[in-house]
Order: sequence, then C-alpha cells, then structure tokens
Amino acid sequence: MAELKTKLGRLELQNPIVTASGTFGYGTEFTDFVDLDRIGAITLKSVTMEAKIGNIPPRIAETPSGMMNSIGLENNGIQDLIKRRLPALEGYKNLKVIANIAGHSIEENIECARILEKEKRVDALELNISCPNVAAGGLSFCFDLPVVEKLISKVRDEYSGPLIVKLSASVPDIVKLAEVSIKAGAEILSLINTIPAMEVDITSRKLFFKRGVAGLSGPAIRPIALKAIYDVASHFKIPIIGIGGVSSIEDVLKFLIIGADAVSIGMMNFINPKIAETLIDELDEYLNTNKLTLAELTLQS
Amino acid sequence: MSDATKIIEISDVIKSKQLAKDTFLLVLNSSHISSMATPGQFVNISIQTKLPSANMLKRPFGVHNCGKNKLEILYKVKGEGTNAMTSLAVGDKVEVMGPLGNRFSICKNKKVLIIGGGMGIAPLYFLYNQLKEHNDIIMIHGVKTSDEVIPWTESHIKTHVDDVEGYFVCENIDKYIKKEKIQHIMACGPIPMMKSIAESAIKAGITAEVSLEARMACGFGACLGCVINTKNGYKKVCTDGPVFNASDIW
Repeated sequence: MAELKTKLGRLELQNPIVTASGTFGYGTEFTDFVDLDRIGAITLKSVTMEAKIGNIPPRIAETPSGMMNSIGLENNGIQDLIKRRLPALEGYKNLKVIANIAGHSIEENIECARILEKEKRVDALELNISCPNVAAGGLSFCFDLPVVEKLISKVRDEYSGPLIVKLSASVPDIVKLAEVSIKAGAEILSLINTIPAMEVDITSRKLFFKRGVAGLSGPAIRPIALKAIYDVASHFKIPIIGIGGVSSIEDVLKFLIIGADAVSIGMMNFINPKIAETLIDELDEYLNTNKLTLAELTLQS
Repeated sequence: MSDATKIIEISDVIKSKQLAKDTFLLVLNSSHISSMATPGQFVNISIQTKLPSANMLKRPFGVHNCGKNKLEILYKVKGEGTNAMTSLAVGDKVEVMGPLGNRFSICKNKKVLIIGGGMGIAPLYFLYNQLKEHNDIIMIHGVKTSDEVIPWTESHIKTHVDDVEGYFVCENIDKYIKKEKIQHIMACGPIPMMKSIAESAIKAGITAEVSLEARMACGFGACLGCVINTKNGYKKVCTDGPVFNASDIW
C-alpha cells in the first residue's frame, strides 16, 4: 500500500479522491455501488436555507465528451440536510464530509455557515460562488471581487472549520479571483465549476434549456480545468481540489502533477458510480508500481 | 455489497434482431439483473459509438422481458446512441446498470387494460407475463404506421395501426373501458396518449398507472436531471418513478 493520506491544510483525507458537489447526491444514493468509507471525502449537493424546487425541465443534455445541466440547486433546505442527510453518514468513520452552501445572498450564506458550524458530521465547508444555473448569487458572485471578499470573510467569521471556496474558470482573471478569495479567508480552493454553455432545439427553434444557459461538465472541460489549476497553483501555496472531467487514473495523475492536492470526480459518478473507489485502487497501484509518492507527483520544468 | 438492490453487470450480447422499422430486440446474458428486475423497472446501458467519448451517458431502457440469465431490451432507433446499438453483435460486451426505478403494481383478479404506444410496449410485455395468471388482461399495442407493426408471436397482443384505423389508439378508450368493464389500466407511451388515457380512467372512476420517461444522467436519484411536474411538485422519474399513478400527474 502506498501512502495516500492527503493534507489539505487542516482537512486531512485518507486519500486524495473526492466527489464533487451535485454529482454524488448525499452519498447514500451510491452505497449499492461503492464503499463510502474508502473515499477521501464526499461533497454534498449544494444546500440553501429554504428548500429550492430547482429549474423547469429539461435539465440534462448530452454533448460530445460531456453533458450540460440546468438543475438549479434543487434541494430540501438546510434543516432536511441536518435531520435526514447528515445522520445517514454517521457510520462512515474514515470518510470526510464536505457540505456545500450556495445561498443566493451574502446573508443566506452567513446563515448556512452559522448553522453548519454546529454540525459535527460536517468536516469542511465549501462555499459555492460559481454555479451558472441560478438567477441570484451563483456565478454572478465570481464577477464581483469586492462581493467575493465580503462574502468569504463574513462566512469565515461564522465557520471555524476548514473553509473551501469553489471557483469558476469563466472569469476574466482566475488568479485575481483566487488572490481575493485567499485574502478573505479561503483555506482551500476547489476549481473548476461547470462552464456556462447553451444548447438549441432545432425542431422548436428555441433554446433547449428554459433558462438558456446551462453548466457544461465532463471531459470536455478537463483541459480548461488543468489550465485553471496550473494558473492558481503557480501563484499561491494554497491547497487545491481539482475538478473537471476526471474519468481515469491518467486524469487523476495529470491533475495532481499540474498542481492539485486532491482530485474531485464529477460527471463520471453518474456513468460509473463506483469510479471513486476504482481510482483510489488505481492510484495506489500506480504509486507502488512506479515507486513514487504523492509528493513526487509535481510538474517538472 | 450482497444486499445491493442494483448493480453494474457486464453482459454479453446473445441476440440482436430487427423486428420492425427502426425497432430492435437486444437479448443480453445477465445473471443478477435478470433475477432482480420487476415489471416497470429499467436498466441503464452503456453506448459505444465510433467516437468513444461522444455519447458518455448510459441510456435508460425499460426491461422488456427477463428469463433465466437473460435480459431482453426492445428499443427504437432515435439518435446516435440507439443507432450505435444496432451494430451490436453476438458476443459483444455491454455494461448494464440496474434494475432501476419502481415497478407497476401487482394486481389480482382484475380486468386490466395494458396499453402501449410505440416503444411504450417495451416494459408492458414483461408486465403482462407476470400478471396474466391472476388477471383477465386485454393488451393493445398502438403504432403509427404499418411498417412499425411488431410480428408478435403471442396472440393476446392486439395491434392498432393509427394510419390504418384512421384514429389514435386512445381515442376510443372511453367506450372500450365501458364495454369490457375494465377495472385498471397500465400504460406507457407518448405523453399525449397517456394523458388521454388517464383522463378516460378518471372519467370512468377507475385507476391507471403510467410509466414515464425523461432525459437522465445517472438513473439512481443523484443528478436530479429527470424531474417531471406532478400534483405534488417535481418528482424524479428514475427513483420516484418511472411508474406513477396517473392521478398524481393529471
């Protein structure tokens, strides 16, 4: 067994394989396929104070090497998360649970953080400031750096555990966005979120999604994620969770080499719900076979 | 994971055969899913197109029939994914996830109308096989044109061809329910057809179950992509359905 333990600042994982918010439900949907207790961390679906019904269907479209979604942060609200979802994860002692909050306003995010501060099953908080599928909040936060600073520092004041901020690559300057986020109190950065995209229905000659825009994910965005991770990792020493179309052990290695400290699986969870566990085994095997350590997976000049 | 209710299985193609225009029967060997699946449930099948990453998402198909170590899928070519499936040959491997979703109810001692529109017939065939012993069943398969008629070997399936009859299969359903004293309807097909059938059932004061479909990414309740609007808000076709009481929808 290779040493897979991964430290993301104060957040310690048994291995660097994570599942991305919105692609892994609340974990329990996957227990027929995968042993949750073997995964480094799972990131729960975004939560808001009140229940959100989400966007009008259709919500899914396939595209070469990926998919688009327009779910719209559907969830049953933070009380349901606390009463129903978190207790269901109690038994998994080795698994770290990251709660993802996506309030539509600074105030709502502060309130969510204040409530989750008291939840022992939440090991870290991920602040989603980059969802393209909602009218208020979401990706619009990322375009307003003073708001990003205020939002993160206010959430920082309320939450004492490890704070992750999830960034979008669809901004003019991700390095600047990362800098503001770090200054405001982000301890870990996760990148990237889905890319704003569109689809057209030929028959009706209308935009396929009711909101027009949807979020593109999957291998189609992988090279964009690699570039974003490279840019941020070469400027700051902050731990990075890399996300974007990871679908094989080769992808995991690429993400780790280019600068990610952990790798999060997104769309592929839908296609192969046991992929997280498979990638942990394959990473272990790769390190053993090549007599390498995780620390040695760095970009060579 | 022995108590798992759904699994991923690598299946061999036993048979792939065209039955009618754009309509194919795919028979797979399956030890687990075939023993667990119930009528109304579906499976997600991986697609292999020329460009391997072009169609990554698995496609949902209602279970058409199950035998010992055998799983049958009836499908219509609609796009790139199903088109690629037609080139599957005996011995090819396919990744199958299932069984997924809920089932049609188990009814007994009833006069049941089972009605499928187009490919909606797929899961109903399996349903008939399970219900026939304890119920008096009338089964109708509605298709648009003559070249879509499936040459059923079973005499109990009546085929209705819209173009030949001059009206849709659901148009005479009110009279039919009365004449045949139907007590329960089970349907799958295009939304307008099922809506019409549901309205007829409600008018006649009888119950109806419908199986719905939607675009989905996962098939097991994680992506929230396949929601449909019901009287009780959005419900997931994959785990709250695909079978719904018609009165919950219309």
